[in-house]
Amino acid sequence: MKEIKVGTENEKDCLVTVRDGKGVNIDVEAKVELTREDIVDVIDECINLYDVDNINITVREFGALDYVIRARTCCALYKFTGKKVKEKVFTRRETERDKLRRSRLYVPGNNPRLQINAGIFGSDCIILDLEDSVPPEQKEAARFLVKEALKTLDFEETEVWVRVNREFLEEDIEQVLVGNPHGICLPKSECADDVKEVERIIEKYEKMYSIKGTKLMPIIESARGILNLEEIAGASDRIVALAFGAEDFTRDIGGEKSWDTLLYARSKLVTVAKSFDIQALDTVYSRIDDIEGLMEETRRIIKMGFDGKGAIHPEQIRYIHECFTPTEEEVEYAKRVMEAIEEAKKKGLGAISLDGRMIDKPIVKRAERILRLGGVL
Amino acid sequence: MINAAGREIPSELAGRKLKPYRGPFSTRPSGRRKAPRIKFHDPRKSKVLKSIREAIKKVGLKDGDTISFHHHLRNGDHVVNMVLDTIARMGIKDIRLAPTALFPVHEKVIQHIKNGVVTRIEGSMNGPIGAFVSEGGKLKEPAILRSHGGRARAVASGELDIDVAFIAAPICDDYGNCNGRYGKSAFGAMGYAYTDTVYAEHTVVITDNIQPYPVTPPIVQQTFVDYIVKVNSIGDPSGIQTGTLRITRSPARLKIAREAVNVLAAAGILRNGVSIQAGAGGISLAATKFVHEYMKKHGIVGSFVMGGTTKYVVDMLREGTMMKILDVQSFDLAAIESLRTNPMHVEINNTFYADIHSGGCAVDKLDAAFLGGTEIDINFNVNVNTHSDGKLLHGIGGHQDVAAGAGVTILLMPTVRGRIPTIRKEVTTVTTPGETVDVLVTERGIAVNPRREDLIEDLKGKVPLVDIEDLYKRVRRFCREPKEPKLGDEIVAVIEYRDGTVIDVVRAVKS
Repeated sequence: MKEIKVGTENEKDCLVTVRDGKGVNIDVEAKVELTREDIVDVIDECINLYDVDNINITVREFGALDYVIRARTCCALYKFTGKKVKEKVFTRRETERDKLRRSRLYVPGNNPRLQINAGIFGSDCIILDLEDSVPPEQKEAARFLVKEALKTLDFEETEVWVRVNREFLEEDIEQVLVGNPHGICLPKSECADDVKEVERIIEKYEKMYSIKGTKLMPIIESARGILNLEEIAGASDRIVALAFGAEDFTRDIGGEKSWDTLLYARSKLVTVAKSFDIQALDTVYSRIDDIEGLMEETRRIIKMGFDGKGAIHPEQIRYIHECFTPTEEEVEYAKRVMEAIEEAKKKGLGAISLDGRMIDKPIVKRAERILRLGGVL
Repeated sequence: MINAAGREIPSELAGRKLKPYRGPFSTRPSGRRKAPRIKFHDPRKSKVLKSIREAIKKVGLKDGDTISFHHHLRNGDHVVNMVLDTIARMGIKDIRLAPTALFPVHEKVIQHIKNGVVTRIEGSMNGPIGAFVSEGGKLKEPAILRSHGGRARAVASGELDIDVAFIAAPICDDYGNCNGRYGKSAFGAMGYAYTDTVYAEHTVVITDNIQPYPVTPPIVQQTFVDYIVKVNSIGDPSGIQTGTLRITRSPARLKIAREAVNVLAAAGILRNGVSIQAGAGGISLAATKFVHEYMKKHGIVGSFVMGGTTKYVVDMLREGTMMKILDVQSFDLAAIESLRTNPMHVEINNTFYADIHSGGCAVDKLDAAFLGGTEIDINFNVNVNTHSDGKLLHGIGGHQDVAAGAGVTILLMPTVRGRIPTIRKEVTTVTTPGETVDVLVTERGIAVNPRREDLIEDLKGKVPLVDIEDLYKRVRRFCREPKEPKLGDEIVAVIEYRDGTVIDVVRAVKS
């Protein structure tokens, strides 16, 4: 007899078991008995969506929100029936190319407990991860959960991305684009063809779902990727940022992780990104208890020209932002630069000087960046 | 009748007229407190008895009497179960149980309800006992739940007449002087034992440690004590004191704690002389720690910190951010040690702490307090007693007292617990009225009670504020409104306000 199990017995999750049956039988064990009928309602909707007549569904619920129950049940029904169903595509406002991306919080794709509050910590981006944080046997479940999370949770103004699997590009994108994320992170990007392939798949499903504007963030985490940075950066107009993945890169080159080991890769990544007018985002800081180390590294990569840093724990976000926040003096100077430009424009002057120093384009650019980071612009 | 919290309550229940809640400070008491019995002890005789049975015999406990306990042994307590088991074996029935609080370790009370030994409960109910009583048809009369201050008031006024107060003590002399500070079962402050020893007809100390006269400080005094019983053990130390209470590690809960401190700082409350109520719940614990860090960083010295005393509270005293600790209950070893050695760590009793019908209580002197709850509604009413499914699972503790007393009462609460949203249109049970709750801090935003225009003005532009109804709506987008529980007609418990009026009733839950 066919039996499918999806989900876990962890807090805020549920375990759905589907078997052959005569007629539809739903058996729910709820953490709070009062909510049992609501859970049955959610399962009923899923059964209608997949249009099954003979089935036994058992759900053990441990404080799971509706979206989790829906994701687990639909995944189980999909595996059971092999059916693809048409779903309503989520509408979300497109993001801007040069939005602030100081911090991006990686959130495991198959863990409801860590997803529910992902939007409340003030990170500039959230990356719902289908890749490294999800074991192979949970990939399918994670796709459904991320899709439902995208459709349901209150990410509010936070930009949401999905990191997909290189091996399951089409399966991942087909599912998660229903939730219409702002963009797709492509791990282990190594050449222009990698980017073109994912772009082709995105276009296919954007068309099918009548959405547009999905952005791309190639993650560079191999020697070959660093070598081919230029062709990667130029491979698609959808690319708004290049992200660096230090763990895999270090392993790939056979080195040991240190500032020096990564310096060339970081330098090249910033240089290429800036020459293509896209953002350069640094790798995550993996020692979550070492706040000093996080802040030191963040300050250094900011000096190099990076626009953002990855976070694997919500507590890291505010420290990253603190590093990106310009000093009052920097903000004051930037304001004066902008005023001087206004003044010169009014007077019709070509050359502008401030405190006896020529103000050229890069200085203006820097002033604008500081005002944005300082929350003034 | 509809009371001032908008709740429907009967005018009479189990032969007792109920006074509806009319507002936090609207009851003016009259008359006199209860006069305790004049006691006599023949100095040629010993107060120390061989067994609990002997003590029960000597005090003449009989069917229908009321016995009381204090809860400082928390989940390590052996005394409640020992006494009830003895009473049951002696064939005494129809007892009214009046503890200051019960814990899961007291689950056995259910057996004593089933066999008719316990037929009424006044005080607190939690966990398994509350769930059992919620089914309906278990008690002869509805339970009466009171806050710590409300209970002290009821005992002193004679509303709650105690026949025998059983006092668990980790150290005692042969005349009955005892405190909670020393011995293998030490638990620290024993503030909740005070009113019971003063007003009960009989006071029996149960101890596992008799030391030479005089045991000092005599927190419970010889003048009130009739008998002393020596037993092997009054409690299990691992359930009495926790090593160190753990601060939450949940990033969302830490955010709540941090934001609560931001609110206090932005409102200008964290200044020299500030006084604060600290909680022992995971989020309040974190908030207490963050307040300490903030005050230390800015060189602020407060006047006192009160509430469940923990290591984090002791740190404030030791590191100079607070001048004094007022302690009714000590939660961990650091608190017990501090109470023993630091004269600025002062033990207080329940009347001093929270009795509104007194010449003044310490909660009135609080500038700010951190509190929790199971639900809050858009009018800021807070439910501490029941869950959204109607089951009675918690006692009131000091919630009503502290909320009414503190200058700014901040409720710390996540917006969602499992599938259940905590912000409701109307709470399942009103424990603490909204007019005494000022700020709600959640992981998804901070809402100030519109009644506090002054506070809103102070916080504007400094802390992002949201309307509580917007917060309610935001959460509903991903967490659906739970169904209303199916309730029976039977009232299983009365929720008294601290002044003795009735703020709500709890009805039986139909299964």
